[in-house]
Amino acid sequence: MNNKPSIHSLEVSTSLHEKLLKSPVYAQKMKNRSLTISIITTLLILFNLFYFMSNQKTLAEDQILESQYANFGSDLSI
Amino acid sequence: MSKEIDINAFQSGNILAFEQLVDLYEKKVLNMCWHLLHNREEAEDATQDVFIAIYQSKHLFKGESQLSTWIHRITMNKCLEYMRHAKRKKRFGIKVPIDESFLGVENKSQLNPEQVLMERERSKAFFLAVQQLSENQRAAYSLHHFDEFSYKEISESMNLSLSAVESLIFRAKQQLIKQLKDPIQKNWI
Repeated sequence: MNNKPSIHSLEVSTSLHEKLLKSPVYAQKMKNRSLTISIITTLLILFNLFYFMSNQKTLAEDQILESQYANFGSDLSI
Repeated sequence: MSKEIDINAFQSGNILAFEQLVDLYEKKVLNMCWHLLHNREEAEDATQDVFIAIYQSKHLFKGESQLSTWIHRITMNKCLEYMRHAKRKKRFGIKVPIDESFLGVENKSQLNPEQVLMERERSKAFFLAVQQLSENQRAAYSLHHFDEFSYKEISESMNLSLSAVESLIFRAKQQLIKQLKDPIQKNWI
């Protein structure tokens, strides 16, 4: 009764062994997945950046047209 | 053990060399995870992650230490990751239970059912107390206590100095003595 609590050691099951042997395949899949995710993320960032920049240009033009300077010079006479 | 594996072949991605490595280390890695995580399902998942990490970082093995030490270090880091994850899950009320098969009782045939039950309860309390230790204390204590690693092996696996390991194990024992009231359990420490 005073023995240390025993922990029986585990045996590697056949299914786990098979999975472990497939580690290179899983590693490659993970690499491909993270590569795809980083490409998609980069593309999304670039798309957002271009969208923001082109929108910024239109926005600036719109802002001038709506401002008090929109008709600047139209009523000037020589 | 590492002499039997062609390190160069393994590092250049040779599948046969990797399979040889799996055959040699799978049981050791699985049991290390089992002793640290106390849950079979988690231990098997961690073992799989360890071998994926070994394959992914094969080029990082410089040969400065033994291959087994390098593998133990990867296993240790993966188990610490799992422990942190379990801690986070616990915060959300999801508890990873101690596996019932973890609480095996030695020489069961000599004990009557009542004694087996009592022993099981004692074991459960003991392992729960071990789970309460801080991550590093639990890891160092488990490696020393259950995997029978020497202090030197633990220091290499955990990347700590010998004195740090000694101090971790000493503090773990103090903590367990404080938590466990039963004299039989105190004998186990």
